[in-house]
Amino acid sequence: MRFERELLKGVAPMVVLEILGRGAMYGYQLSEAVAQRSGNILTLGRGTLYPLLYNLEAKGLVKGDWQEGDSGRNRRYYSITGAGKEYLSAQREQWQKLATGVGLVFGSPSPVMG
Amino acid sequence: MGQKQNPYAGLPEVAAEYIRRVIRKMGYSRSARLEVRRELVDHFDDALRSCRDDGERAARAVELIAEFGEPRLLAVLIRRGKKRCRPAWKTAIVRSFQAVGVLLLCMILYVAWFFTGRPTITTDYVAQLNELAHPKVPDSENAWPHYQRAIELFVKPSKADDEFLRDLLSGRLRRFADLTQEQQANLRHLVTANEGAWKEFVAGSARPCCWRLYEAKDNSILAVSVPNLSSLGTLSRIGIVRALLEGQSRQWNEAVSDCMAVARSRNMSHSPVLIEYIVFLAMQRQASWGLAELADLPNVDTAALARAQREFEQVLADGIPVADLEGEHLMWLDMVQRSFTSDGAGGGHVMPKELRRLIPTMVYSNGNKQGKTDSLAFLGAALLHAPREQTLYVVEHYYDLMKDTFASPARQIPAKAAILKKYCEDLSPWRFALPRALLPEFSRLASMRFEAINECEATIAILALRRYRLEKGHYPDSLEQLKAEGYLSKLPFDYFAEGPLKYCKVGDDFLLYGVGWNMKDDGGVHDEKEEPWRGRNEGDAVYWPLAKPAEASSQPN
Repeated sequence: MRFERELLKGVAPMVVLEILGRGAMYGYQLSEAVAQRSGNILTLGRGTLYPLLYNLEAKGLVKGDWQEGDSGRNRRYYSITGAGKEYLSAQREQWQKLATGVGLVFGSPSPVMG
Repeated sequence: MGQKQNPYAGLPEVAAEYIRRVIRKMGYSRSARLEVRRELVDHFDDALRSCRDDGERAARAVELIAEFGEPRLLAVLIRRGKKRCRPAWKTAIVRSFQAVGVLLLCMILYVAWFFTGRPTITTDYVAQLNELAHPKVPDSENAWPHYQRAIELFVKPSKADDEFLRDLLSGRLRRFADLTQEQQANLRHLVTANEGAWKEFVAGSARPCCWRLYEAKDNSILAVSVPNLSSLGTLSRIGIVRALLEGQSRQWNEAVSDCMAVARSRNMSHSPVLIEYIVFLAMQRQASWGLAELADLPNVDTAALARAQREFEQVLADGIPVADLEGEHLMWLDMVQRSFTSDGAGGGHVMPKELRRLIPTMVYSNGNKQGKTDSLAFLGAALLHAPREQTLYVVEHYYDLMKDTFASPARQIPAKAAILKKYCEDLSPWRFALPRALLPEFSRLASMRFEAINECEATIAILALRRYRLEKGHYPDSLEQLKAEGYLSKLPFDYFAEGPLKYCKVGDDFLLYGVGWNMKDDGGVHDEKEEPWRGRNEGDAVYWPLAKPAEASSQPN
């Protein structure tokens, strides 16, 4: 499903950090995980993925390292940093409040993350 | 050597080409581009691994490319992200280099603009100089043609003879009266050799004015040709020697006339060209010394002394004029006109090559006139130099101060000179390199004028005192007595003391002196290192006795 760009813009970093919080992944793996874990509702455009990862890396929220992967080939693995975890926690809290508010407006039970 | 590995090996060509375009358009550091390329290749590789054949791989690659989006946009986003990843120190270095680059570019543009300027010659300062110099009298009253002819006819003495003349007529050597026969014969030879030149000099000095037409290549006042004026100075000394030789032969009328010829060369005193004024001043002092030497000769004639005093007083009736600085001022204006660009292109700045020509050894020069370092130094100096209007302001102000110094009484000149010196020292050596290096310090000339006036005053007193001695058999007790008895119309004035010259009888002789430049009465003792009539260091200017009877002094060949 395709979302409005602006709508996704605020959510994408949170989603990526959330998934990386469960283990380090390389780019392709991450894009697949986002699709899979969101039941294919969220598909992070590939054109968005790498710029987003580099931005998160620049902010010190994730860290990229070349490591040998399962297939024996080197991949750049991204893992969440301590700062990333703190950021994610704060974002998650905000998101829950936002979702509750939006749910109340629409008269439906609030979606809960995590 | 191993073969270079294809980074896109195994990828469909469409994917490889897409990645190539992204990387090319990313245009960032090589290491970042290689890293991104590797990640994108891995991404495509992983995504296509499950495909069964090449057709499926190609179709899937096209889908992936569509998901990645337009390569230019992706490249921009990746580049932006990568740039943000750069550590702060790296960013600082890059920004610094960028700033330096921008500055360098601005500098290059500024220098280019700077070099486009050319000076605009709007004023003919040589014509203005000629206008100033010409006193609007008939040409028949001009002494210059005679002086010019005298310079042409002048037979230059040997260097040794020239030095002997200078020393003899300044009190450094023995008195003229004590010269040996051989020395006198040698001097007579110099006089005879310059007979023709001397006649022209005398004819010139009889004219009331002196001016010449100043001419210069390109009408640049800096290139105005200057005749050999030092020849006139030497000729005046030979004229004084001639007078003294005549005096020794008791040809008193001729002797006085020759001294007066030198005294009357003051027709050069109104020249706006300072070097001509300086030559005049030197000749004026020569005349004073010559008359004093004449009065010192044995058996000097009282009538000759009376005539010399009378005529010298007449010659000095107008005093000694203050030096006219206008010629120097015009020279500066012309120099600025020719060395600075116009206000448009070049911004009215001094041109480096002119700076280099005018100031061959500057503080920032390495001394190698042809060196590249010098060229760069002068370019830098020109860029830093104050523009034309500011330079002109400094020059004008300096000349105002200088004129004020020249118009001041002798006692105020040291203080005014200190102001001038400080004004120059306070100028930035970079912003005002040109005026700082080239503005002349003329305040000594202002004092030299008073020195010459004092010498004239002393000479008149000496002529009167010697006449008194010849007529009365003794010297008067005081200058007031000399005046009271009608030998002097006024007391000789010491402009450095602002009072009469000091006089006292010493045995059968007398002492006459002024306080000199230190303005302090040192009891009539002069500094042994300088000529007795000069009192520029510690010590007085002693006008009489003329010189100590000399120890043996040898005259050169």
